[in-house]
Order: sequence, then structure tokens, then C-alpha cells
Amino acid sequence: MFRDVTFWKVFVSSIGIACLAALISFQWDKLGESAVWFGMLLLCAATLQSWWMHRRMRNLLTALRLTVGAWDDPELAQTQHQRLPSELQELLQPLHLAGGRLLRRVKTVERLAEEHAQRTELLHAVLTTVAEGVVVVDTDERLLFVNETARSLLEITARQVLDRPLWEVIRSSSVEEAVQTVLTSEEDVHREVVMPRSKLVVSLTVTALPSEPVPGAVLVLRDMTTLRKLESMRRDFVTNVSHELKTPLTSIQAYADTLLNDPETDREQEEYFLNRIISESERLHDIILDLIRLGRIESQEDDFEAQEVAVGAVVADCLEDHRAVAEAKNIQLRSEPPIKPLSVLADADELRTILDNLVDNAIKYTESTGHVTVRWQQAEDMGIISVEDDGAGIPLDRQARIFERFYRVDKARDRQRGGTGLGLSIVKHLCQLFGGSVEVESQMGKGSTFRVRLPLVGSQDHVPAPGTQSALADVPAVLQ
Amino acid sequence: MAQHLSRDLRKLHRDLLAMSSRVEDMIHQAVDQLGEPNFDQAVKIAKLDDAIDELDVQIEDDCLKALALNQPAGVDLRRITTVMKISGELERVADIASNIAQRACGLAESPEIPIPDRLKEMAHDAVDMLHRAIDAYVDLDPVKAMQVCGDDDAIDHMNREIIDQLILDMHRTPERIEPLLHLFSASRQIERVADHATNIAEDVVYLVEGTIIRHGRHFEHKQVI
Repeated sequence: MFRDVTFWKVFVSSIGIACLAALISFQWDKLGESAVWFGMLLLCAATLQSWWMHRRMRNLLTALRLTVGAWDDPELAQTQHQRLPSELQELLQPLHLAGGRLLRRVKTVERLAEEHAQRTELLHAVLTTVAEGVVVVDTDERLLFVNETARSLLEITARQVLDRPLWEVIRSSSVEEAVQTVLTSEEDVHREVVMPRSKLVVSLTVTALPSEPVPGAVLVLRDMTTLRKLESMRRDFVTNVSHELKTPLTSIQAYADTLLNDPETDREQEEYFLNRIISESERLHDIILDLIRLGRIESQEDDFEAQEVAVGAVVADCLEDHRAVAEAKNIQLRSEPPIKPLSVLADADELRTILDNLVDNAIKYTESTGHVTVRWQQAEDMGIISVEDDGAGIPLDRQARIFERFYRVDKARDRQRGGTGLGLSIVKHLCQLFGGSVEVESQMGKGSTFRVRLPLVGSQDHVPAPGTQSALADVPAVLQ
Repeated sequence: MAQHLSRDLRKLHRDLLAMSSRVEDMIHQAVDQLGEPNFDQAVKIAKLDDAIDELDVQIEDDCLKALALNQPAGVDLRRITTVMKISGELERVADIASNIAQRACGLAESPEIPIPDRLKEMAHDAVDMLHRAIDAYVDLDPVKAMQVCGDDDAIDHMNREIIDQLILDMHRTPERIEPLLHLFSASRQIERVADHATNIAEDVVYLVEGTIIRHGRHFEHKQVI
């Protein structure tokens, strides 16, 4: 269309203008005034021609802009393309094809970016929720990723940690050394680190990120505190049980050897030695009986019948039996009953065992002129029996361990005071058996209070099903 | 020149934090010793103290070089002088850690006495003050630093209480005077850890605000470089 109309119009106009110019130049003198009018007419014709040309070009450029602008919409682009003159259609054809190819590529990139974002989100969610701590650093030891577990294990309190140096945020010489070793030698490092403030035992594995050159390192942290504590408890248990069993046996053997090999021993000495043999045998016997008893409680071999037990009566019996020992030490043994009588769901004999152990311990660890008080009351849906003394108290850091078998706060002195070292362990297991618990509150130099919580009658929900452990389920039963 | 200074400051910052993490580890180990004395661990802490002394000298040397070569002013000058002072405080805390470990070994040789819960509480609080003072330095947080300064009085009060109780125990059980003297000394050493933490916190306030708040109770002395 452009070539067919515009070209010929321009061509004819140009020829006409050229002829007129030639005629005017040759006949100027003859034309006179009419020549001026003719010139003006010619000027008007040229102006109209220019206006028409400008309008035409503007429409063409608009069509071109719309066609190019619609490159990402193939249907619209096709429609616009067909409206263009054939010359422009030919000119825009390669551009149109390139636009289509570009569009397909852009769509592919968008799809890949979306998939990548989804994968990144999934990976981030996995790393954030994983039980292990994960930290990623670059070669400058700048933090690229830290999950919540790592924050907790490494005692990171700063909110903004990303892009900050590891040595500024974590401030652990052991962790920093491990990371530096991996970044310089590219060899994996595995070690256990004790965090100085929380005392958590953390297994640390540092690995170089797989690329060349190494782009950084990844730290994987696992909390080993419980496992190491259990190992320590197991070691202590083996040591303690060996010691507790060997000590009386060694004494018995020594006294028996003396009696056998020393014929000059007088009657008084013989009696002393024999009494010692008997007392050590009794001690050994008590330990073995307590161990068997503890085993039976744990395995629930004994058929304990949980029934309504009046606490006041059991406390009165218990205190009556211990009164002589307390008076001998000049310790005031007293009870403070509640206004309303209390009954709990337990076995009467076993509740008596619990109280015997607690009152016996309280008398043992209270100095002369001290006081031991037993109180009981109802608190919500539990009955609470507390045994309070004003004795030496238990150091705070050892209170958590006193319910372990054979654990003694002051090894030398505690053995002198007697006992098998299993009393509190039996108390704890009996309380758990009846769906209750025992806890201690103590202050050095001021005394201790043991509180036994047992379910009330009508709240059988607290009694655990046979064969289940109500507390410390993650701790091997043999160590509790 | 600016690039050299920036590089020197970054190195000083890193070295100081490396020193602080080691010193914190040492003081934690030393305080733990009070509960469970261990001769091997005490020897190890003494060796670590030697390494800290070397690090202190190295940091001071680097600070002096940075001052001489770059002639810094303003915050850069305050940063270098603060690093030098904090390094000195940390070196003294390391000495205290070594002393506490020795006191713990002394306790192991004596009749067994339980460590008072109050002493453990004070040790925990004093070491926590040190950690928070270093946190304030890292975060350039004068508010956190002032909180550390404010906590020193509580530690002093606890120290007085513990010492009074120990003196009472000495009168009551003279046969235990030797281990009680070790505890007496350990308590004073732990109180000094809190003092050094306070000094570090005061240095942080100077670094950030350019104001010297040390001895503020005795005289007004404010100076901004």
C-alpha cells in the first residue's frame, strides 16, 4: 500500500513542482501578478502534502509500536502484524520470530525459578526443623545459614547473625579452630565440645562444601548431653555397686582371717570381731534385699493394690517407730496434720516404706537439737506429704542426682551414717508406681524438704498402666 | 592509608574476640573446678594462661603499630585504645582463672567440704557479666554495657555475704580452716572477675560514646576525642 499510493503521489507531485519551477523561471516577466497567486496556490498544495505525509507516517509508527509492544502476546502480535504495510511486515518478521523464541525462553526461566524457589523453601524448612544444628559459613567464616537448633546449642543470642563472622557471633575457640582447620586443610573435623555456659555436650562435625575451590564449610551439631550423662551415671552405678558390695565383704573377710590366724585373740576381741562380722553381713543382706526390692518394684512383679489409705494413721505409726532414735539424737520429731483428714490412693505398706525412708534420712542428716516435721495436705487433685528437716542441706548441683542408686552427696560421711544408698531410689520408684512423684527442695545449712505427691481417691487416671514408666522414660531403668 | 587502618582494625577485633573466647573458656573451667577439682585440668589452665599472656603482648604490639603507622583520630583512635585496654583486662581475668583452679586443687587436698551454693551463684553471675560485657563490645551497645556496670554492686554484696559466712564457719569449725581459706580466696578472685567485666563495660561506653565513666562517682570527667 505504501509503495502503491505514496510513491506515485510523491513522484507526480515532484514532477509537477519541477515543471512549474521551470515554467516560472522562463516566463517570470510575462506572468506578473498571476504568478504570485499561482505560487501561493503551490505553497498550499505542498503544505497539504506535508500534513498528509506526517499523518500517514504517524499512523504507521503507531501500528509498528503496537506490533512490537505485543511481542509477548502471540495472537495480538499476529493481528497487529497483519495491519502493517507489506514492507514493514517483511521487516518485522525476523523480529517477530525472535520475540516468540524469547517469550518461550522467558517462560521456561520463570518455571525453573519457581521450581527453584519451591526447592529452596523446602530445603530451608527441612534444615530449620531438623533435630541437628546446621550452620553454613563461607571462606571468610561469614555465616550464611544458622538454624534454630544451632542457635540453641551454640548459645547464640544475637538476632541478626547472617553475614556476620562466625568468631564474632559464636565466640567458641573450639568451634572456630575446627572451622579454620577445615577451610585450610579441607579435611573433615569431628569433635565433642562442651559449651562453656550451658554445659551442653555437643558433637560437632565440620565438612568442606563440595566444590572447587572450597566455597565454605557446613557445621552439623548434635546434642550429646543426655547420652554422656547416662554413660556417666552407668559408670558411677557400676563403681558404686561394686564398692557397696565389696566394702562389707572385705571387712568380713578381714575379721574372719584374724580370728582364724591369730589364736591369741582374747574373748573380748573375738566378740568384737564376731559382732562386726554380723553387722557387716546384715549390711550386705540389707543392700541385697533393697536391690531385689527395687528390681521387683521396677518390673512390677509384686501385686501392689492401690486403695484408699489414710495418711494420718500411716504417719503416726512411722513417727512412733522413729521416735526413740530421734530422742537419742535429741531431735524433735513432730507432725502437723491438716484440718481435714487426707486419704491418698496407694498401698499402705508401701506408703509406710516411703515415709520410713524419708524420716530415717531426715533424722540421719539433722544435727542434735534439730527438728524433723511431717506435714500432709491436699493440693488440687493430689495429696502432698512433706518431710522437712533443718539439717545440713544438699548442694543445689547435687539435688538432681540424689534419687540415683548408691549416689551419695558426701561419700565418706554418708557411708558412716549407714543406710544402703538405695532408700531414695526406692521412694522415687514407689511414688511413680502409684502415679505420683517425689521432689526435693534444699538449701545448704538450712535444711531440706522432700515432697511426695500421690493421687487422691477417685483420680485413678494418675495410676500408670502396668509395665509403663511415668517419669524419666528416656533414662534406662537400671540407672534411675 | 585508610585501607591499611581498616585492615589493622579488623585484625585487632578478631584477635581480641579470639582472646575473649579463650579467656571465657578458662574462667568457666576454673569455676567448674571448685565443684570437682582436677590437678590435670589446673595444669592445663596454667598453660592456657601463658598463651593468653602472649596474645595480650601481641595485641598491644599491634595496637601500638597501628597507632604509629596510621595516626588515627576519632572513633578509630578510641577503638584501638579500647582494644588495648580490654586485652589487658582479659589477661588479668586469665590470671584469676589460673588462681581459682589452684584454690580448687587446694580444696581437693583438704577435708571435703561442700561448696556454698551462694559461691556457685556468684561465680555464675560474675562469668555471665564478663560474657555480657564482651557482647556489649561486639554489638557496640552502651545500654548493655551500663547494665553490666550496674550488676557489679550485687556481686560485691554477695561476696561480703559469703566472706561473712566463711568467717563464721571458721570460728565454728577451726579444723576446716584450711579449705575455708581456699574458699575465701576463691570468692575474692571471683569478685575480681566481676570488677574486670565492669572495666570492660566502661571501656565499651567510652568506645561508643567517647565518654569516660570510670570513677564517675568521684569526679566528673568527660572528654570526647
